[in-house]
Amino acid sequence: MSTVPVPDVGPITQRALQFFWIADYSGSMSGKKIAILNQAIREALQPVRDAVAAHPEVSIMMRAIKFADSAEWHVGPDPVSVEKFVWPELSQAGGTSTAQALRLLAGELTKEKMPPRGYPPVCILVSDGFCTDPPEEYEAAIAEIVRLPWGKRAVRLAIAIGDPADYDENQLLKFVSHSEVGVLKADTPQKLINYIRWASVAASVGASVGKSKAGGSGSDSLNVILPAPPAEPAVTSNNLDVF
Amino acid sequence: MLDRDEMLPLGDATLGWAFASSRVGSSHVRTGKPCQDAYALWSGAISGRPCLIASVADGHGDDRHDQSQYGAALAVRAAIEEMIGLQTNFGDVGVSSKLINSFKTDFPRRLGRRWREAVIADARSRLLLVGSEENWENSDLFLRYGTTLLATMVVGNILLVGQIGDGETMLLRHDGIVDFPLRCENEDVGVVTDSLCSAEAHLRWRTATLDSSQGGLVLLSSDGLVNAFSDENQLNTFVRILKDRIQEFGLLRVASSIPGWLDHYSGRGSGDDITLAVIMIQPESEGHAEKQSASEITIHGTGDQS
Repeated sequence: MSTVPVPDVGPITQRALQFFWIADYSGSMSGKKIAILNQAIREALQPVRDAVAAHPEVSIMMRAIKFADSAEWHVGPDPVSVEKFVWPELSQAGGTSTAQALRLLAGELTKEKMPPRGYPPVCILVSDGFCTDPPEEYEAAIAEIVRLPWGKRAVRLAIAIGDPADYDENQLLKFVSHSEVGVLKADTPQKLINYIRWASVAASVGASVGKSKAGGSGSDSLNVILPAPPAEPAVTSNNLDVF
Repeated sequence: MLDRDEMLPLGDATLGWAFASSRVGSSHVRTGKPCQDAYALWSGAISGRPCLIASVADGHGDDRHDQSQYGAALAVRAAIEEMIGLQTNFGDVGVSSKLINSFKTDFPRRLGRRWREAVIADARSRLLLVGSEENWENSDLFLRYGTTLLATMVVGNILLVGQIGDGETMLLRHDGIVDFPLRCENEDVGVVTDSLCSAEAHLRWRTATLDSSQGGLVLLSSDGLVNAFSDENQLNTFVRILKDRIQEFGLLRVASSIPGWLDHYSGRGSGDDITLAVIMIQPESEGHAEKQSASEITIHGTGDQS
């Protein structure tokens, strides 16, 4: 018996995973920090591509928000396939308007703007300092993200650069979706490179496994599961270097 | 004689016909994982009234749900058994209101209990786990078997549909409109769904009772099919073309082709396991069955309200 043709419903596309970099380029990021950040994100792109190559049904769409005195798109607002994504050089300027950046992010995580059948988005915040926006604005931005269904389900990770005295860990922790991971503290260039690579790959793979999980109200602990972050880099002459 | 890859629908000439297929997802094939979906169909007559039942389950794939393919299999069986019980107890002509009420109020709780009992029995016999029932209730056993479940029954001119978790229940009406009677505005996004293993699972069911006297096509699908399509229009188009294909090529040929269709959509789209059950309801012939008030649509028990 001959088979009946498959219904042609139009182009069948991969499911999208929206990936957001939220990068601090404030004045305090000058010198080595911003240089390593640029290098680390560029070097993380190929491992992300390689990791999702095992999941051809997944299409990672990447964009980037940068923030200093204000927040704006570094790459975007239209997302770019990770295959074509290029990280433009970021140079430092001004304050640390983290709240504005998170507001910009929240605006993209609405049901109207997110693909309805996408994977949980991945949001990686990289910063080296205290938010210079009023505290209530920061709190409101976090509340807005967590209120949104896609924001609540997003894999949200934060990487803090430099001396812990120069940033507010608790503030950054409020952004983080995975308390067991906490804030990733990159006080050396090697750690920054390691954490950016780990966060981008682990979050992309974790969010794109395409499996249903038991959930429902009060089930935040059952969100995307991530592996443990990389251990401290082995001590070598290179990574004794600190920011 | 039928070829090995041909599928015979089952059903009743006066009520309708059903067929289904469950396919391992392309991503599962790559990683060597089994299909964690399941389906069950039942056709028969109770007290002389023909009845068609279908159920579809999608076991959660995450590592914490390592027995979910068995959980799905137990769930579809439990659904069939509960539906048969419902019809046996309340299916007499003239008592449809009792059937509908029991479906709304008792079915989710009874089915949940039956599924949990089946899970415990399975764990004892297959996993050789020991312990008292009380211990099971407080353990992560049910989490290991976690699954969604969709179920439907057609009897007389009543169509009962119920669902916990993701997947889609669709009805192509005689006038060409595609209805999604169990859609939930507050549905979870991403990879998380309600489940038979969720706390207070019976409150997370959505149910509806519809009038089937005009006939139509009912589809129950796991989320693997829904996620293969980029938008709602594609899903609607699929449902309509399916009906056209049945009219053009006949039920038997379409049913036999469905596995290939599902492989196509999984391979190019979702990568997930896909299960699809289809019931083609015959329009009620004149003078057939008693008229019943079954046009009410009731949805209750979403997770966000619990």
